[in-house]
Amino acid sequence: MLPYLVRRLLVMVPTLLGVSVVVFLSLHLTPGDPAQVILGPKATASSLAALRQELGLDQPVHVQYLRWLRGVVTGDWGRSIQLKASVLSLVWQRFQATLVLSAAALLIAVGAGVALGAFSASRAGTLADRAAIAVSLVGYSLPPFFLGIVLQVVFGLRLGWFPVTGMLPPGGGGFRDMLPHLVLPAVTLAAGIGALLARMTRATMMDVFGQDHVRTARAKGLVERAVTARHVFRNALLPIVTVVGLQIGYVLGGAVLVEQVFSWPGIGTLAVNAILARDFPLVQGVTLVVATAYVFANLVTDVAYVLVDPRVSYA
Amino acid sequence: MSEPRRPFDPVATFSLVARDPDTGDLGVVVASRFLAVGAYVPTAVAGVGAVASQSYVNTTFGPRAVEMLRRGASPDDCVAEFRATDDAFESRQFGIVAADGRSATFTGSGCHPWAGGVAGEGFAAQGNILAGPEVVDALVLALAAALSVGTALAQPGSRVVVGLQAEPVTLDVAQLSDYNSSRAAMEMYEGLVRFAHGSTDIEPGLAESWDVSDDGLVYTFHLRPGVTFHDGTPVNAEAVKFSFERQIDPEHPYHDTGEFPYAEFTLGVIDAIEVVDDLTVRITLKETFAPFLANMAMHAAALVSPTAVMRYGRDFGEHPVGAGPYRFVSWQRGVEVILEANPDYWRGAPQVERLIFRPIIEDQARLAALEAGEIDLAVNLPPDDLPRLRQDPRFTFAEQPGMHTWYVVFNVTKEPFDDPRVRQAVAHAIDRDAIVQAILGGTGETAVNFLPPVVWSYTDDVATYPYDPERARQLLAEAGYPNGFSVEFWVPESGSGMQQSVAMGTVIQDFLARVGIDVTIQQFEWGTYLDRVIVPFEQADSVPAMFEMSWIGDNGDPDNFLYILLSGDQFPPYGFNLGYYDNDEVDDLLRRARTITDPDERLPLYQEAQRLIMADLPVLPVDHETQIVVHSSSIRGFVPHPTGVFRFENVEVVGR
Repeated sequence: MLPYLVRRLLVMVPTLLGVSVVVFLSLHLTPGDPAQVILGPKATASSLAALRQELGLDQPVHVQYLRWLRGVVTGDWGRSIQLKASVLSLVWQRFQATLVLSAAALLIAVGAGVALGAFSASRAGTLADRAAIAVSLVGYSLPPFFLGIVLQVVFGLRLGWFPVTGMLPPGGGGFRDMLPHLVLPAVTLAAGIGALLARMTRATMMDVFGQDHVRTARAKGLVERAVTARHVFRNALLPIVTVVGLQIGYVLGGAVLVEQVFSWPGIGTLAVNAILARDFPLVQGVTLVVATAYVFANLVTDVAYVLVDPRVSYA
Repeated sequence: MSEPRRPFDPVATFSLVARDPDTGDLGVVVASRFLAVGAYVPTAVAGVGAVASQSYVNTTFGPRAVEMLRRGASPDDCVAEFRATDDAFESRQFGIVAADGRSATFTGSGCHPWAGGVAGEGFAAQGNILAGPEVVDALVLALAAALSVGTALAQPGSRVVVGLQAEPVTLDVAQLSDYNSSRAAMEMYEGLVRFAHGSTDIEPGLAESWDVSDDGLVYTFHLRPGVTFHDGTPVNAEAVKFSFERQIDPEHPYHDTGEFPYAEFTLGVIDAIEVVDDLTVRITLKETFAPFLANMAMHAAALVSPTAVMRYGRDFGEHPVGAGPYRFVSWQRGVEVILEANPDYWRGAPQVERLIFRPIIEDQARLAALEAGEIDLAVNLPPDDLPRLRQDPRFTFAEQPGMHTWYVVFNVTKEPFDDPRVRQAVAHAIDRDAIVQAILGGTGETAVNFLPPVVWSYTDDVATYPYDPERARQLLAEAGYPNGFSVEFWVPESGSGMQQSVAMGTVIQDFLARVGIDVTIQQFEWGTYLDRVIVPFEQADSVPAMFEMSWIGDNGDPDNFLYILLSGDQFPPYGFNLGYYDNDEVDDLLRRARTITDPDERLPLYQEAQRLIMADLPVLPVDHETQIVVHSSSIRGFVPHPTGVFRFENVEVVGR
């Protein structure tokens, strides 16, 4: 196991390098000038030129990239052009908010999705099953920004149960103050994945229900609940874990939209602004963190296989 | 004192006595579970006064109070009289409003909790056995929403939460270049002079007076003694010198503490700054420049604490220190900026204790936050929702015709727009009222003149171009284009002040097609767009024949529109005459006007220039954007400023 982990961690390095090169190039190839964005429409040509020089934007692209890379390795992620602050501290602050939102969404999605799927599978073909399928189909089809606005209007404005924007009340607060703020964005972000998981769980469990060992278990006289829990659900877990692992990427991506709708102060809103402002160092920093999170999530998924399936082992 | 009689079981009761300040009407409302409460509580006589008497009701109070008021007694006299004559006085509760608006409310210590009341000019609200003071506050708020009696109710210790459109990027006043940053930052700062409330008139700020030399080249400012920045650093001549030189002198030791987008524009005309004594500073200009005082009111001329800049260096923008009505508390990136009232502000501490600025990027989300009460004030709400909000008593609209012009630039160096008749034809071909109504939803005012009406010297005595496609075709024929022509029209995807740039461009394309002008639209990202349309005269050929632009005024001076945008001296890179309009007569008027300091002498020059410009029509002004601020009705005294910043110095929060 340990050599495997080390190998996987080493492979991360070229992956992240590749991502950073692609992002760096695509940013520099798209039109738009950060100096113009900073100084605004009333800037003079000479002040623009001076600023470009100060920011190193007059250097060749590969020189700019290598300079950035040297900084990252030594812990200096540069200074945001637009927000005039250290990239590392900006990204880290905002990433925490995204992690909280994503974790809550995943918990809700896995809890509700798997439960709904299992419920459906054990009552396959009944009216309840069909209703559950319909619910998951709707959840899967609704784009997050639309669902978000609907939830805002219904549960925020009409019923007044939850706040509609931000992570904390104005002026700040603690963890308890955050929980009500978390509900609507987390549910919005969870809906798509939860629905997908419900359908996955149902399909896989139905599949396992038809297998020989299940017939054997039933023949042994096990009660149906034990059959479902011990012999079906456990076996259906492997594909579910895979899907959950893959969805971590979706969650981080979906968080961008959901954060916009609910003004959640996460990395998504930061990234959108950074891209619009052609804030190269900040976009690079955000990308690096998100890509790292993504790669780690895949690693965790692979390790999770060992835990749910004794047949899988890594040498 | 004997035990009060208990004729009724205790039941919750609350009431409001009020006078309509406009009509003088008097009224009493009371709510209670007590049966037929209306028979006991209210008494009112037109032209005299109204009374609500409750808790353990003394039913004689109403008629006696009205009789006393009729004889000229005040509501307070009534309270004193009842206190002296009623031995169960401490179990009573009542409110009195006289026809002249004087009022009183009384809650005895024997009333069942929670009990209490509030009285102010023209109203008295009170109740007992309530959930808490918020019930009484809600009564007052309901009244305040209907009438304008709020000012008497201002609550110290209150706060206002502002919904911004985007995250502020810096709170360093010298580095501001966007509305979201300046709205969050400007209340922390003040300059030598400032713009008056709701206008661009100049009034004294940190300088109590100033002298101008006869040639208009030397300004001597006399600073207000005893004023300090929020960190205790004195506001003195050295601080003025530091604040300005930091921005304009590349050799200044603190010049590298930021980028200063408005330095050249605001302070570029300064030749030297001398400290005469601690409270006197002398500024010499490179040339006579009439709008200089107006520039001194702009944000880049606000004073910063030199101590704080020295201490925080490049991070001053995160630890801002000025001498304005509010001081910095905290800034959590992406979440909120918090300011608090400066108790030592030289004009006196503002009423609202705290200001909180939260970025809410999505218009729809900002609207939801406002409706849910999470924010108290917002701009740029979706135009489609404005009519509904106008009907909602919880919200108040504050509107201000903007110091802004959205216009189409004609590149006059290129055919066919070198011919004024073609430019005039385009103007007649476009129904600008329709654009303002249909696309902008009335959030703009159709432009008559290039200069916005809020800028002084504005005149509507200029050539006008009403929608008249027939006249357009005729002008085209006269100019030798009876069958129209083809032209490229550049449009940015979005941009500061550009409103609905794409939709407006598309409609213009459609209108022009109807008179035979075949328009091809090219869209650009804003940064790229500016790069491509702001180019020196030598490359005029690379600039399209027609493109969109907008200008937001900086200092309320006509020079800031007319000279900088349309003078032949101001081709890029010197200024922003992007279509290379060059009329010697106009240039002469504008040049003279900026060197004369007497506004009365400047006025006719500017008005003549406006007439010449609108006859030539080098640019087609389409609209002036209206700033629409929607705020909670509990906020009083908010007046939008033509420069787009928010001022809270005179704002109060009532009934919360």
